Amino acid sequence: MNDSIMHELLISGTLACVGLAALIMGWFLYTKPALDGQTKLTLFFGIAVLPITSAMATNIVGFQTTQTREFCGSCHVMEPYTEDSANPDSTSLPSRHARNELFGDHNCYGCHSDYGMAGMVTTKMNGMKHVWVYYTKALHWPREAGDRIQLYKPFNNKNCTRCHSMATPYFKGVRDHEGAQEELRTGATTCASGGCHGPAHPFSKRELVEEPK
Amino acid sequence: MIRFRSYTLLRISCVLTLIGLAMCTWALIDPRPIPLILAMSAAQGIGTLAFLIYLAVIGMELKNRGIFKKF
Repeated sequence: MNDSIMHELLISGTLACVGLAALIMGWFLYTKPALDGQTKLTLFFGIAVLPITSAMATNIVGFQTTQTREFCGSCHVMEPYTEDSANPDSTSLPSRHARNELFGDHNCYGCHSDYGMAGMVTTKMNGMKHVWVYYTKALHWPREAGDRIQLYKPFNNKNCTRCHSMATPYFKGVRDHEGAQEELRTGATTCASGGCHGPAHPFSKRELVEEPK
Repeated sequence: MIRFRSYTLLRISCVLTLIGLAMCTWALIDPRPIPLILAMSAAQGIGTLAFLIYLAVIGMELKNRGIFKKF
């Protein structure tokens, strides 16, 4: 089944659980029934079964939602980035990845999430840091504040090489790759640096892509 | 007295559950960072507290009926 249909079904199911639990709560608070076994059993569904189901589903929906491009663009300073990604005429790296169905509308997360077993956890922790910085610092920045937005650490080449293997003859056939194998492995040179395949978001690094006048 | 206290505690539990569920609904309808963070943290804490209050009430009732003495 299509992922977006599953997502919508999950949201609908969760809202149904929430509604049912709210009905039980409303019935108890409004009608004030006698506290017999029947009432306690009904409350068990209203306070435990349905809310726990709703909470679990909300977590799943939440995690799925935080991986979408639309969610990344919900902070206004990210809008130029997400608009470029969604632009079918753009030739930037994110836009080209967004047109690949393996990334699709999850292309921000696809390239910026950390690689490895704890990748999801560290990515979410960094995400919390983003939210903090946004609400304490960037909330009043202009929409086009790309020059003020920097990664916390250099872009990890593993995020590229997990798909674009460094072991293929095609990769090794590129002379620049051959000479920089070790630097690429250690991260001394990033794939997304100017002069290689980047900058990934050219409009935010104008000084690198525009010819000096 | 105990019956009255149980009833009040259950009403508090219901209200807390409703607050938690409202936060979850907000995050589902308006999936932006703040509602999602609240739904995945505060709402779950409030819901857990509500459930613990419910369990405490049930535990108190069972204790008053001497159910635990059988063990």
